[in-house]
Amino acid sequence: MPERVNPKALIVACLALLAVGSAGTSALAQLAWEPAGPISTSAGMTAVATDPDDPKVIWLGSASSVWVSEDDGQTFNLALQLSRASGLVRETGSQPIDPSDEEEVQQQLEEELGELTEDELEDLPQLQIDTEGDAGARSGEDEGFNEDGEFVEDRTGVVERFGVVRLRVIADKVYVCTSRGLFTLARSARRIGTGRELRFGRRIAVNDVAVSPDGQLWVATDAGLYNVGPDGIGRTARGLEEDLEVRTVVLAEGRLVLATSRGLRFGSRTFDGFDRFSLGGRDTGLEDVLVEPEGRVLVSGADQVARLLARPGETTLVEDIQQVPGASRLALGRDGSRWAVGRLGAWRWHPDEGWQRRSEGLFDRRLVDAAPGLGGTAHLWVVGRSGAWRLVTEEARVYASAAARLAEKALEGWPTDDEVLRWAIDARGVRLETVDGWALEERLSWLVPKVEVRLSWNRLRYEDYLFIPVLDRRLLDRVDVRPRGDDWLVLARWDVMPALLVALDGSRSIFETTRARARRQLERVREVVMPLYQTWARKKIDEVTTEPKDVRDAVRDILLRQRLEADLHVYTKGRFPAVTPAKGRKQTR
Amino acid sequence: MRRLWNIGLALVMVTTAVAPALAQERSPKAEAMRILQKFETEPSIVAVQQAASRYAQVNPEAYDSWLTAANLAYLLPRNLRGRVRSTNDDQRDVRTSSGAISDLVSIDEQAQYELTADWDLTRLVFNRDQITAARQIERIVNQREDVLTTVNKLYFARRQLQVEMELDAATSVDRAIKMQLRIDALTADLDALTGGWFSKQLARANR
Repeated sequence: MPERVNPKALIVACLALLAVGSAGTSALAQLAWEPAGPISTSAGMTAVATDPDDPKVIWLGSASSVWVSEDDGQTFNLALQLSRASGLVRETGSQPIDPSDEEEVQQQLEEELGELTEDELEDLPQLQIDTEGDAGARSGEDEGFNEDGEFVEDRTGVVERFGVVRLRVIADKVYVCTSRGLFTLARSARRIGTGRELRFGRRIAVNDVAVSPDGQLWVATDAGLYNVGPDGIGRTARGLEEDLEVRTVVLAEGRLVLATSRGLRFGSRTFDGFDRFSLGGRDTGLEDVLVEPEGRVLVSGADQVARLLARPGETTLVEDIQQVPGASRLALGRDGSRWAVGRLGAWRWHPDEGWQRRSEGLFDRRLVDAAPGLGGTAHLWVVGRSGAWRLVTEEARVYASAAARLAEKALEGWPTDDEVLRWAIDARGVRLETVDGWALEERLSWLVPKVEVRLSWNRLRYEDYLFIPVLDRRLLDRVDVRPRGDDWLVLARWDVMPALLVALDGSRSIFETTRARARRQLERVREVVMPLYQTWARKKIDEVTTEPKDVRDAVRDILLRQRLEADLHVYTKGRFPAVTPAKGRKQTR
Repeated sequence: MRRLWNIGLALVMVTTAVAPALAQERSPKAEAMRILQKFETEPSIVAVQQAASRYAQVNPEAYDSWLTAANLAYLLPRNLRGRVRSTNDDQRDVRTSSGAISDLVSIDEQAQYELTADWDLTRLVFNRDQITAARQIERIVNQREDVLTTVNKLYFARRQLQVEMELDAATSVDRAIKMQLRIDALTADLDALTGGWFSKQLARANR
């Protein structure tokens, strides 16, 4: 959205020779998130990997499938179908899905992965009546930052770990770690056919794999670390405690580093023992490890990201540890920047600002994995409840061609997501730019004077009386009214004190509060309107591409779509057209 | 031969006429549209939204101009003072001329009018009323969205039940009564949000 120039402020600024302070202008974000990935499973993705040798090859894992793209995410092909083979069971305790019933699988997965069904739509976060002003309803803010800027966590949101949990591209294979075992694919696979299950004793939840220089495969599972030798037999790793949930295994400086449910474990160079290292308290569970140059590793878990100097034979030092709420997986961006993703979105590390959230534009912040964009247009790939997303420059922001073709047909002539977002933000009254404009106006307002205009008229009345002796009376002979000292006064006063106060206190609390409110409004709009639009767009696409089973289904689809249109009509203050029949389009603006 | 040709032609004509109708009947979307068209005489969702926002006094027209008004208000002077002063001290100046005629000149009567206006032009550039207005707008927008999304929810739930009644009309009286009661309850809810406007419109449509 283009930044608006405040004409008033501009005029005043031009008049001013000296301006106190400087206007805070927010730099336009150069990178933007855009949805990518196969549209049929856009309900949710659970793992992502990029090929380090072929930057245009992207691997995506969902609850039941693995997809591959060889054109930088423009199109995807199904490379592995897991549901029939593995009989996925959700780890969080829901009912097992019968893999023989494909419809049930699809339905359950869609429900679990965030596809908004009609019933769920009933529970879409509504913007509630704010009866208490600042401390009013904060629908949809169960988790996040409260009004005081403190982080409020919703512990009820359990990280869902099911289906494909990690993809690793190693040598000539792609390792598919799932909640029900380990599978492999040929790295050259672009179609279904090369996938096979790698059994190493038990069918357990596999979280990660690594291959040591001697060719041994190390498998991190919920039941410990396994070493799979050339004979294909899995043996428990030596020197590691039992009942340890190993979530990540990586090779750093020639030794294994594990992120486990009870802290870090550094393996010996001979792979026969492990040293314990705790972060954030004894037995704190960790999620991911990212290897950096010069013996450093980045570790995430327990709402923190730490940077350690961990050289073999030396004492491990914590160089930096910072709060990153919800962070679980780590990745390096194409420019070498550090990223952390998790259930509260994507975070980027900046040398001056530390970890800052960069989730603007993501439909759903609940992310589960990230991978570097090694070439092409993407700087970073992330996956989560709303599917796969890539971070691209604004110029390169284009939809995946397959999705674009479908969307173009179904959404032709309809408002775009950008338009709807802009309308919804406009409908909220105050935007961040408006508040910035106010702050600038206040800084410059002292340049304009307080003016007093005084007009005064003074009149003197002369009366001449003529004495008439015969009558013995005086008669009024002449009246003369003359102006005397008419006065115009224009007084202009400049009050310099406000300028001094503003100069001394650059961040006025009133603007900070208003800015915080505007930001919160923006967040609400993104959290409510974008999912609504996305669901509506899906319904429109479905309407074009599918035929309902029966009349009842058809009516329900039409009414659901009409209700979404009616809601969007409300959130955009009537600018989104509502309500349209199935045939043709009747706009009510 | 000619007779056979005639029969064939008639068959083709009948098939051409009936086939699209059958196809349309078979299409769930077309059938769904046909059912939904039965309710077109009822108020549209947009009309109900307008009625509800009027009733709750949260329509955008009410607050759209607040920010501009808050700004332009300072075009008027902040203070406007007027003063009228009249003095008369009965001072006289008597001048005697030749003879018995004398003049008397009154010079003491004086009237003074003063008008003072002051403008705080800094407020034209920035004034805090804008922030107050913005806060009030935010509150009303929240209320508006809450009321109208509730209206949407009730309206389409009611419409869904109406369609269900159409589709299951003949199954059982007990079920039909229950559904009608639920529809009536939703109608009453919509009435509560529109100040009775919804029922009035339904009655007008049914006349």
